[in-house]
Amino acid sequence: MKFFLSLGVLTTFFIACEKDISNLNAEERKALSYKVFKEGEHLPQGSPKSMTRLERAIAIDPTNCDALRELSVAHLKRGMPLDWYPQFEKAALCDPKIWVPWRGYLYLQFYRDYDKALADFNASDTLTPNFTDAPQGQSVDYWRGIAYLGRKDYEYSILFFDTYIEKETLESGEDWVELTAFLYRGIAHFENGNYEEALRDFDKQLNYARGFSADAKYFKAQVFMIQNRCKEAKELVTSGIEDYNYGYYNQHPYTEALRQLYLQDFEVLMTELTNKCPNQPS
Amino acid sequence: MRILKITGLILTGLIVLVLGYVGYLYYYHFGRFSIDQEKYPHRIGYIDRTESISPKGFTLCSEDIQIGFYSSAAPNAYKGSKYAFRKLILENYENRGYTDSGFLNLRFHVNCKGTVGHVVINEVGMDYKKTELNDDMVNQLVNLAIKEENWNAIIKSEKRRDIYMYLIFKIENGEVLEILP
Repeated sequence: MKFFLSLGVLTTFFIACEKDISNLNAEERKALSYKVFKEGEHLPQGSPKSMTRLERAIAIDPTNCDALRELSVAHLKRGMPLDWYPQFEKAALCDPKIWVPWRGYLYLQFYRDYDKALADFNASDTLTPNFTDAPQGQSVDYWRGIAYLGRKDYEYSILFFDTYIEKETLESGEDWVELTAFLYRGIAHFENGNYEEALRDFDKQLNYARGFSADAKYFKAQVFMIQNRCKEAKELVTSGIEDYNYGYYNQHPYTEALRQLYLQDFEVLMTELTNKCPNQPS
Repeated sequence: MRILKITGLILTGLIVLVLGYVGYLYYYHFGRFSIDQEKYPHRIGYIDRTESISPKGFTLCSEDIQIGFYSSAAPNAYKGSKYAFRKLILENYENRGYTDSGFLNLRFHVNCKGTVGHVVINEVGMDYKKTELNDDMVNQLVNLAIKEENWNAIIKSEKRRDIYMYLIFKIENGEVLEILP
């Protein structure tokens, strides 16, 4: 009984310790808001406790842009655009240098909204001149390459992947280039009919992925099919299926990747190859 | 006798200390965080049974929280992968002269038997604000999406589970451009 009473007293003590914020100056509010935001980071995303603590952080300091943004994330990941959008807008207005290019990435990845994504990536050039922003860890040039590929504007896609790959190679070395940049530039070349350039990119992807990439093998097989190299194409499809089954394919944890492949894509290609060259073994 | 008494007291003291520490840890990590019941009575993504559409007799198999709030269930939820789902939609959907553009947003549960229910429909404009899309177009897409042949019953940790799913059809002039996520 005493033990529970002590716990009750302890709890009352902690609750009583909650600060009266009306007398805090701007700096103190910022610091307290940051503390409230950080202290609840372990709470499950989108849980009532987590959301309430974010609201509290924002109530203390309405310019806590990280909290404004975090309040939108669960809505985004759980497919609620009507709730995500107005909340993320607040974050983008609060700190446009950070959250406008990020919004571009989200438009691209979650909504395939290529025009809005490109507008935000382009805006980042003005917001942070002479600096290449990297929302979600990748250069805006890489994301522009993907957005133009999604828009089927292959020339621009190649242009931006060239820019990204050249810059990354110059600054850190080619082995630091995000592997899917080679894959996607290869697809853009393939769609544009530049088969030799496409093959060069798919080989780069395979080289840096130690020979395991269902996607590079699938698209390489597509090129070989056009070039009537059916036997090599069939071998690639078979090998690509093995890679796929081991999980070596382009994917994203929350959404389908752009141009994501499925096993049925390989089966369809194999059937096309068999129809095209029935006498060549696989 | 005295030794037993002292040992008993020490053990009781230790137990009280450990329980106190555990209680403090619970309080520090969870208990002290309050909930705004009015604004956040449920986790984000919760589907209110009374504001969603279900086939007659639809129930979830468990009171446990559904899995898949981060789309993690999606790869296994589609019967025959998303490739088959996309194929079914695109081969059966017919643009009957619609000119609407926007996003058709569905959230729903797939119960442990692979049946879809608790469907919430939101019609979203290209500006990400609420809009009205053509009713016939919406009905067509919803009816295709919830077909039982699209969905697997999910087994996780040897237990059949109910799942949370969402879909967004990106539509331009009545044509389905993308099926997200």
